[in-house]
Amino acid sequence: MNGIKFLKGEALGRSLARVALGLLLLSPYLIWLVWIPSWSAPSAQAWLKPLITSLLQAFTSAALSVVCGFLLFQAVQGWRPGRWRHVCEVALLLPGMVPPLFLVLALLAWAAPWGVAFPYGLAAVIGAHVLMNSGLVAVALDRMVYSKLSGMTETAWVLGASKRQFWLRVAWPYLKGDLACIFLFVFSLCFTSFSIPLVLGGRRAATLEVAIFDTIRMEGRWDLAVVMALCQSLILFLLAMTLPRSFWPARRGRKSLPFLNVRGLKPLVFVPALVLIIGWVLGGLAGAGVSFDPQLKSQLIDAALTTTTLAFSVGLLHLLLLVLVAYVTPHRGLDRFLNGYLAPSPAITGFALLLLPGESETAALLKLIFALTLITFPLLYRWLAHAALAMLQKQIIVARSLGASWAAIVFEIVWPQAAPQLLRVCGLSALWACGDFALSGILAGPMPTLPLLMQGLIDNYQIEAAQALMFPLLFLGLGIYGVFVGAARYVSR
Amino acid sequence: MSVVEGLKHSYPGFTLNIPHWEIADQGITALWGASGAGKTTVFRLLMGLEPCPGLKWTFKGEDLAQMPIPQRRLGVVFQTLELFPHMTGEENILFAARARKLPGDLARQRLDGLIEDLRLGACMKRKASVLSGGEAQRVALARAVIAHPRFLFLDEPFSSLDAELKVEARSMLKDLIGKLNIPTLLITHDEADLQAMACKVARLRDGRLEGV
Repeated sequence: MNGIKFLKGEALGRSLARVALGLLLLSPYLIWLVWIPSWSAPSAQAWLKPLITSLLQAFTSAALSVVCGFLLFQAVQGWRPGRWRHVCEVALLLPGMVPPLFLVLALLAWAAPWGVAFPYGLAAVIGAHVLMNSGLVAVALDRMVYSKLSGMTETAWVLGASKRQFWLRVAWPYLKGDLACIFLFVFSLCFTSFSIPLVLGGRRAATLEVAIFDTIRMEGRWDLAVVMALCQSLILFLLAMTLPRSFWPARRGRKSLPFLNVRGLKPLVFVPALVLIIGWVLGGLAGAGVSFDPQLKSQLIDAALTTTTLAFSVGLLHLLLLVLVAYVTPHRGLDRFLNGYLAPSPAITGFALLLLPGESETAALLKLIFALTLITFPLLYRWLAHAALAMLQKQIIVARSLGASWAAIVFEIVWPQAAPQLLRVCGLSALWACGDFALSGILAGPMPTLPLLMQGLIDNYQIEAAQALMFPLLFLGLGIYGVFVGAARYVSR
Repeated sequence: MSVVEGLKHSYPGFTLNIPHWEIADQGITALWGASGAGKTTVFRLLMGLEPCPGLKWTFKGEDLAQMPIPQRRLGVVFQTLELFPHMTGEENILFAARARKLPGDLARQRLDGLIEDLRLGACMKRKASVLSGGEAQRVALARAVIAHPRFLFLDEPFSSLDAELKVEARSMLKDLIGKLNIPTLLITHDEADLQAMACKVARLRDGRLEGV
């Protein structure tokens, strides 16, 4: 009897926790709805152009990312499984894993010798997004084809099918739903991208995100910002409705599928990473001899400490949320929500939290930690955490049928097996937080962070000085990521 | 006889070494052994799905090991069957005919023959994903043989069938292979398969052939 009462209490607790988690993730929208200072209908002209620019930018970026990702996927098939194949995967994911600031700095370093006028406009924004996402598409395709089609690929090969026959008659009809998910996922990433359009796009190529930022920051027009935010949220909502499934199979390809390899494409795998790394080296060389002004120098230690605190806190908050998700799942409704939910854009999240009371530096730091978590958690969950938790579902069912409590399931079954992957997710969130300047620009107030100092330098056309700070920030970010990965290794032992 | 020489492969904890092996060039040769003996590795190496640098496979005067996979003109039924789930039974079979560039009327004629021989009539217009185990197995077999391959590979083809269906499937398969005269390598761990079908048996143990 006591056991039954306990389970009832636990079930209620889990239900409440699910609701709380949903409300937490939706909170930026809820805050806008409740706290918005004024509502009025501005003319369509004011918001239509940024909306069209955003849609055009996101569609082109996603389409080109999928095309380039498909080429890279074929290139990966030339590498046999083993250490080099793993290096290929890391190289492909690198541009999407580093904070956008590092991508921006690499592109600035490539453009500098050619004297290209800065900012560069829509083409550069699209180029940066393609560089960032095509490797991600390639790895997603690789895992998807391996997990769903590897046997069929070999059958078609042995039966003598041509590659064209295979792609058109076997792979496309079977994978088109998954490919649409990948496309829409990249579309949503590009549609809500903030840092890259803000720095590289310029006013003429202002996307919805940048327009919301400018409208509130420069003009104080919340009414217009609300309309733009609503447009963006509606599109994200529609995307979320069409994205019900995870696009990232957990299983890495353990064998190559040489049938799908295109001869000569093999080295292409490293091109995106090389663009990035060579850009960093060029930037580092350009910034090597730069001397900072004394005021900036005096802020550096403070900025580094704030950045470190911010990054660790974001990582730990992710860990807390992931354990909470592990506790309240599997649950069909919540699983569907978490796999379909797209985080609100940084501008919507940032300004929503700005509306909340609290002006002190501590309040600003807490808001920033919370905001960074809100925008990265849904993406990282779908991308990396869901698969780790989903693999354990059958074990959870067995444990439940044996009468185990949910707390016992989380701490004795889920945590020991999923913790290494969850800690890596936290490390990645910390690395991203380390390089954030977009949300920090809205929420940090006078509190300095290293990326904010760098963005200030870029805005003042002191690009070499910004590049001089790149490597210290990169090492700091990688160090914090390393702490989480070290913890993951310790736990997995 | 087709002669296989230098069939070697190793991965951590396992070494396959078959210096010389004669496979019958008609009827069914069975490769028999317990789980983990290396049967599937032999199967994948002979088909060319895994590299095997020193391999020589002489079949009717040609070294199949030197040919690219499509040119080897093989037929295969994997243990998991690997039907294309979004296609109907008929589309699955005709996919293989098109892949081998069979003229349309010849493909149709062979398909009709296979429908009769393998009693496929009921599953031609249904998606592969909804076929029963026995139906899926027969469709996979028809797909493997429609282009009259040079050699047919069967990897535990009856493992997903119940005992009654197995008996029926063995007899159907043996008749079909006899009728089409396609030399076949059957991989199995089931002694009943050997008794019912094989004209020659090779026993594999820990990566080595023990008796033929």
